[in-house]
Amino acid sequence: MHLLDDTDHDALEDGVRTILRRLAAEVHEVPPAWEDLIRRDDGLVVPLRPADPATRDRVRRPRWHHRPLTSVAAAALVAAAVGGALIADRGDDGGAGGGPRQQAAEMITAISPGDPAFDAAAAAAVWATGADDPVAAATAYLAAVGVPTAPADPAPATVTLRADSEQTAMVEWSLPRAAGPTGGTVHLRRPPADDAGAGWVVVGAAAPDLALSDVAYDGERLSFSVDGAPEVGELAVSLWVDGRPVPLASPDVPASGVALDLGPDDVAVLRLVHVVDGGVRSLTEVALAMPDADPARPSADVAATVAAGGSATVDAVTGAAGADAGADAGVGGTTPGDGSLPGDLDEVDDLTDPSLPLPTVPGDPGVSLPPVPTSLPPVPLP
Amino acid sequence: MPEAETATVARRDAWDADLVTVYRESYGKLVRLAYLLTGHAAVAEEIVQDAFVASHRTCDRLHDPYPYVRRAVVNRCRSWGRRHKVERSHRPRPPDPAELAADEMRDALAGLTERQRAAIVLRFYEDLPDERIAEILGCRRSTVRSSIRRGLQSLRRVIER
Repeated sequence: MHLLDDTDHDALEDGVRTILRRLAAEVHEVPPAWEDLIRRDDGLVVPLRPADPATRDRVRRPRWHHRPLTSVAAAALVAAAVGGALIADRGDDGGAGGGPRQQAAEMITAISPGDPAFDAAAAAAVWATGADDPVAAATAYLAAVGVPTAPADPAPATVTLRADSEQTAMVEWSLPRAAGPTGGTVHLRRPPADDAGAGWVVVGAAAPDLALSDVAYDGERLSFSVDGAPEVGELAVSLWVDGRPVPLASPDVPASGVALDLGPDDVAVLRLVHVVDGGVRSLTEVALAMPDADPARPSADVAATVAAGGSATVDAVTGAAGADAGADAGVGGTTPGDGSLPGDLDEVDDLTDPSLPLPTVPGDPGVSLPPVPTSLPPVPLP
Repeated sequence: MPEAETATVARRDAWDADLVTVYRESYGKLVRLAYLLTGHAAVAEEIVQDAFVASHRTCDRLHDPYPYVRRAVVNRCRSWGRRHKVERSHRPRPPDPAELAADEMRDALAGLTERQRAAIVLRFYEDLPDERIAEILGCRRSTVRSSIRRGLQSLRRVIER
């Protein structure tokens, strides 16, 4: 390492300032009229965004494009708090030592969909649909998470297209009959034009009263904060890496975050669900993509089934600090990460619909997946 | 019109008026900032326009839209940078950074991590203090200081190569 003395340092800083200004002077911008610019927001004019071959090459059909609404309750029921953090263990590779550990000196961060800086066109996909309509895609996504969307549901959510551009869409949803803040927005990205048959992909979800913020990975640990403190119900956090649910298992709550071994092309997806009386009240989801990740590949599995009152079907349960969040789950301790429940939790009945066919992974008929949860029964608070 | 709705409309009108002022007065400055962070003029303009469009959807969150839009621009540039790695240049450099040709300095900047680059540009182009940079980058002030220190060291190494 070259150590600079004060004189060197000052000269270097002055030189950097000079060159930055010289570089900046190269740009001769031509701003469009304000009225033309904001009309982009309404989709009334052709977007100014030029074709970007590099981006288009990377946007491929999601590999789970035709995967039915399968998969599993992989929710981790936690009482999350501002600054809450979890410890996780990659179940697929035997833990932190199973793969090439990235010793990244650089912090990889993710911008949450609720942040104005969030760019749906560049965000990594968290869920794929075959729907060629953003509202249909968002509705399918919400239904998979557990939001009642079918007309036959007692109090279905209203799902409305809020903004639609050439590449992205934002869909707003709410539960008209529910008290308090409900719903939020689902952010989607249009598939590439040359990928006929590919549907919209969900790139994130935001809630009005809750947020996952400061999502970051430093090469060894994933950290995040939960902003917001609902007065009733529980918060459930789920984590997927490259499409696989990550067991969250530790009674300890280190401030340093989740110990995680991410590869250079992995995508980690965090989902925060607010549950009241067994029903999903709001939803936040954000993907953190490693530098070489395919942004079109959905990483979260479908269903995050959560339940109130300290009961859940989970791959693992973590006991994050929860008092500050106002949550009342009282969940602590750990599970083995094999889907079983810790001794102080009761399994929730009737989460699955036996009439549904057992789905299989395309291309691998030998692998079957558990039944699809189709509803979230009310679970009484303890 | 109900009072609350009137207030909301007034806030949005005020926000929009301020945003238009920022657009007219600071568009070029923000494009140049984005250019320093991405190295691509067209991308910089696109990012800044996207940031203004996104900010237009928002209102009454802040009284001053400029820091809001600037933060959106920086974060979009960082997001873009993570997905578009820029090749490092291996050409020899003159010893004095002030004598560096612009393209060589651009290459040197491109060799930094996106956080180091953002910290360097915000400090030495925008002249922001650690606290403001930390707020924009969503990190601690100590991280800003170490990013700047390491960024300068990397630039120095490139210069001396």
